[in-house]
Amino acid sequence: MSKKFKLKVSARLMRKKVKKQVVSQKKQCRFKSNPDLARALDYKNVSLLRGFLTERGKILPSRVSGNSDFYQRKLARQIKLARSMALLPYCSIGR
Amino acid sequence: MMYYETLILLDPQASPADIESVESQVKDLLSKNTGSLATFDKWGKYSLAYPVRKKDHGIYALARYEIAENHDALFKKLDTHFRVKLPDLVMRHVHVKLTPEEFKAEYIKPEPVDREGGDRGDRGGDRRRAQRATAAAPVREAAPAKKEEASAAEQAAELTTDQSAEG
Repeated sequence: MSKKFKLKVSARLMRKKVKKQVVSQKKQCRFKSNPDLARALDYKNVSLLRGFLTERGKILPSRVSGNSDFYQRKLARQIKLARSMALLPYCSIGR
Repeated sequence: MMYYETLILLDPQASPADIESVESQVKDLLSKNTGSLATFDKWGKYSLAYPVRKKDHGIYALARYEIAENHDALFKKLDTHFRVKLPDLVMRHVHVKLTPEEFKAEYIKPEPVDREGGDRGDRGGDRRRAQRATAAAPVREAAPAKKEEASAAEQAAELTTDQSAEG
């Protein structure tokens, strides 16, 4: 689909939609596929939780991390708990 | 039997005697309320993710205990005890309910990171750490004894990444 002239708006949007679908299908929830990891999902396990924060300390959305609904909620709950106990930052100064 | 754990954040200047007294007070409170303290792990001094009461460090202690069913009064008593009787020692605390399996299982203790070099946070690509999760701690957080070298290295790395980010 490499046309040199500009595509009509509707065609461009269709291509975008297809691209998005393809990308999101590849991601699998790492907690669903690994029960040991799921068991390790705890507010005390800072090294695991840190991998789900951006450099500013924000929680990564599930469309980026690939987590399923259930585990994303659980993860968020554990991160917020860790934050309240000063194990993780609420906001870190990224550059 | 219900299983719980309480993570306590204590003042960094607390002496070992202070921490022992906290442990015994928690034990007493539990035994008076049909509970029994299973473990009281002192994690030691940690660098906090953000200043708490204007302090950058704190001492963590994790108490795991079991109590008879329907004893919510215990938590109120623990809370008031920490807030009214030990406000100078105990800075934060949180109660978490555990399943019987979690109660018996070992938990993963965080590494006491010294953040004098500055908290770089998680740059792009470090999200893959989550896949290598459970036991492994991130490389840059290893060896807290070499904090000067580590902080110097971190600062140097920070400079280079800044240059690459701005460039």
